[in-house]
Amino acid sequence: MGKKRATRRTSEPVAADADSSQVVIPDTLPILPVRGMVMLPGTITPITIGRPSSRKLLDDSLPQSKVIGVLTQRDEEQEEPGIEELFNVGSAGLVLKLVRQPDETVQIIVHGLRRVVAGEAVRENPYLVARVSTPDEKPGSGRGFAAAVNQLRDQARELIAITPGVPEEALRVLMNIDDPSNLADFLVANLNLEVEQKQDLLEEFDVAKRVRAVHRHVSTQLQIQQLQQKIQQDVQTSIGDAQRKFFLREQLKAIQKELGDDGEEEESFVDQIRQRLEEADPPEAVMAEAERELNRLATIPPASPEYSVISGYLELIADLPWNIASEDELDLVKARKVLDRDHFDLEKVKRRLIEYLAVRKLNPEGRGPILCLVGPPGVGKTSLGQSVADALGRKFARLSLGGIRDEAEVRGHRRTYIGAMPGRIIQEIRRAGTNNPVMMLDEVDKLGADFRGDPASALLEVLDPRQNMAFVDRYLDVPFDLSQVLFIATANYMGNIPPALLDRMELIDIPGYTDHDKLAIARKYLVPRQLRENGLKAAQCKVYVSAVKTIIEHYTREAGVRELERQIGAVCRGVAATVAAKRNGRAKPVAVDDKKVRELLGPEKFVRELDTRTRTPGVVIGLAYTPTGGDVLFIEATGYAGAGKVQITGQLGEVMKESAAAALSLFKSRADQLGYDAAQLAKQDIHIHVPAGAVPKDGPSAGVAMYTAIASLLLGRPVRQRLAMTGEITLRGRVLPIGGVKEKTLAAARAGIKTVLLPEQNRRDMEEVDAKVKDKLTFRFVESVDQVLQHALGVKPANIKA
Amino acid sequence: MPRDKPAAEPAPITAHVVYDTYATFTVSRSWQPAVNIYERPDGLRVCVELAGVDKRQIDVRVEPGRLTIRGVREAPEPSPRGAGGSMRIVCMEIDYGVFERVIALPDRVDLGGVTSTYRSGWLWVHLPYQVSGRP
Repeated sequence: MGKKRATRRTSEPVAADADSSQVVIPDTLPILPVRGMVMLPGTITPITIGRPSSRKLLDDSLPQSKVIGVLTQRDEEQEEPGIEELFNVGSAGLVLKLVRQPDETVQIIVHGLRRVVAGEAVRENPYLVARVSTPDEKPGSGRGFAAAVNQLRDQARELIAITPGVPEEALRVLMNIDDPSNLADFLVANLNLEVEQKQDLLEEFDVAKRVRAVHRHVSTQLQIQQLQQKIQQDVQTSIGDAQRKFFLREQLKAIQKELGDDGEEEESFVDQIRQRLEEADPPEAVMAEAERELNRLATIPPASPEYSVISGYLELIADLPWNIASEDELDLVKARKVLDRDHFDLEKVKRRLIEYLAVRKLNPEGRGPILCLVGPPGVGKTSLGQSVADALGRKFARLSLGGIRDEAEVRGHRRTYIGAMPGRIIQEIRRAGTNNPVMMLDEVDKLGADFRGDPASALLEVLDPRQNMAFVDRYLDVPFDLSQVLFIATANYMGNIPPALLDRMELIDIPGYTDHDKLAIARKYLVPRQLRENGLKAAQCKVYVSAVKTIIEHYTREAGVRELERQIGAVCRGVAATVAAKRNGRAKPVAVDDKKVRELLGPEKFVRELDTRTRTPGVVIGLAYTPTGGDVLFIEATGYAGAGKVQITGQLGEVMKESAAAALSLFKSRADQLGYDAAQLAKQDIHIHVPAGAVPKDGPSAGVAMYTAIASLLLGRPVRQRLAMTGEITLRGRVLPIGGVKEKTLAAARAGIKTVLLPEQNRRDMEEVDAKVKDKLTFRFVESVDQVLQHALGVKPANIKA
Repeated sequence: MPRDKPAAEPAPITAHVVYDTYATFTVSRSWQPAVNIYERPDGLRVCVELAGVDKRQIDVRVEPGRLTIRGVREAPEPSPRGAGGSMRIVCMEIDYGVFERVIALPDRVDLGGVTSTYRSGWLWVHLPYQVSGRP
């Protein structure tokens, strides 16, 4: 064989003359009936031949022509179908290959050529031969058709991509089919469709319609596939997650084992907790509850949120001092010394505490008392708690109740809530580490209450000595014994403490300090402390008594000593500035006397204004009892032409307004006896005012002062100088007793009053009144308003009916 | 994309696999003869298995980057005459009809120097490489 020069072309498309081998389809074809499948033009399909008639067909016809007609049976069960029992549309196919199995079945591979319509049968035996026609297809056209084809191709590609088990080759084939009719047929052949559906599509000679129909099927299958894929992924993910967690946990265990010094001795958290619980040795019921939780804990994986909730709870139980109590210091003398060291005076409180110690000494099983210290701010209530704890040798826990609104703060949250915590009481006990600390309940009068609950009511359980031996915190859920705790509550004002709570406590009044007390406190505590804090040595600064007295009288007006300490601090800072400015450190000490104080603190802040204000008729000095101690109160009345109306101002509460009304009625009823023409009242208005108007005032104890003010105004007589009064009045003219005598007298003395009118029934309170105050003041006890007027105005009623 | 290695799509091998599971679609209705390709320093030797084909019916074309071999092979059938017109096909494995094989070529092939010979049923195509220095 010789060499041949290869033809060389460069521009002509390769596949242009592929139709040169176009197979001619004859008019009559041997018909191969098939079941369960539909052969489509363009596809290469393997067909297994089992029927003898079909084998005969192949044996006889193939040597002549390799083209056969492939028609699908209408009924699969039919063994030897006639031409009517076949769908009349099928494909002409070229038999490419033929292989025989040992059992005589024949496998052929047929290449579908084009659609044929079978006509009448030429013969039926031994196999079908029929006339066939090959009608032309109706090709699609137009832009819409092109778009539909493109869409079909895109969706088919997507379907192939996500359908498992489709060879990659399919995608290549799909992209290489240009003819829309072929594309549709290729998809029909490979889609998962029923035989009838495929047959319908085979019978569709309109390409545009076929493309649309195939598109519908592709979309449906795409959606099904996508759904399946998603389900598949979900399943895989969940399995993957579980496996991952398991794997990580195993790794963690391995790491922990490596880290531990000895794997054998390593205690699990559960064992540790168990041991700590046993050490804490809580009561049986508690231990049973803890045991139950412990068993649950052992079965929960540590990563579970439940785990930390339970472990937190068990740690609390293990930490609580179920059996740990500090030993009480029962040396009364020593205890007294500690109390005296830290606080001046406060005799009543100290005595009560010493009594408590004495009782403890005699009866160690006795319950702790619940004391409530009531007094103005700055008198040392809170710091007293710490010294009591020191004196008793107990732990100290402080609970500030001011502003607490939620009862859960006291009693805790139920453990079902995320982030639940025990209440403050249990928390403080845990922190203190003993079951008998001194627990200070600060500012008990400033408890709030709203829709979230009433913490005061929750406190009732805590403070009842008969109930608190089994206090149940909601978080803890088991009783804890609070009976050994020494509760000390503090409050500024008794009136704000809920009555039920008040009922459970032993009240100890801490009145304000007198000027004399303050002087002593300043000398003993405040001045040394402020010198120290401002870096001054005793040799550098000498504070004279006159200086402290000036500060107390002219720069402060308070029941406690806070402002006093601040002012002393201001003086010390001034001195410190002077000392530091001096070059020579060994200079003479700075002497602080009243002059120096005025220089450092500026003009006096409080001036005695009694004399100027009380010179006109209608002005009376009353005495008030306020949360910050006692105070003097001016009551002014004035009259002008009008129609007998009364106006009362000065932010007065209901009780005080009523008291003013009562005073006026009382005066009217006694106008005759006092020599006043009652008819005059109808021609003028009276205005009663109580400055300072910005401060709310209430209470009945200004009744006497109101009455006196009205009488003084209408009778035109000024009240005696430097006289103050307090007392409630009745419409019959009697004077009723009032509270807070100590504070009121203290305030009176502080304000420079000389004489005080008090209700007769308050005479027994004189015991409490400070000796220094008694020295300064003259007391007059009165039973009726007439006596009041006698003392205050020098008026004696003409005819006393009583 | 320029190539420097010849490449033939492995159609004849996969075709058998695909037939069993998958209705394949062929656009050109042609079969693909098997090839061996050898590379030597001076060029490529392509051997195409094309027994039973009249050499004149083989069309060998070279274009830049592509070698196309196509033609028609009639099914090899004995004359039925001697047997009284009776014959049945027991087995039919040999491809027949239109065939076409496309082989991608490296750019170095000297298109002017391609030659082919047909011998003992093998079609040999010799594709020399350009001598270096020539554009």
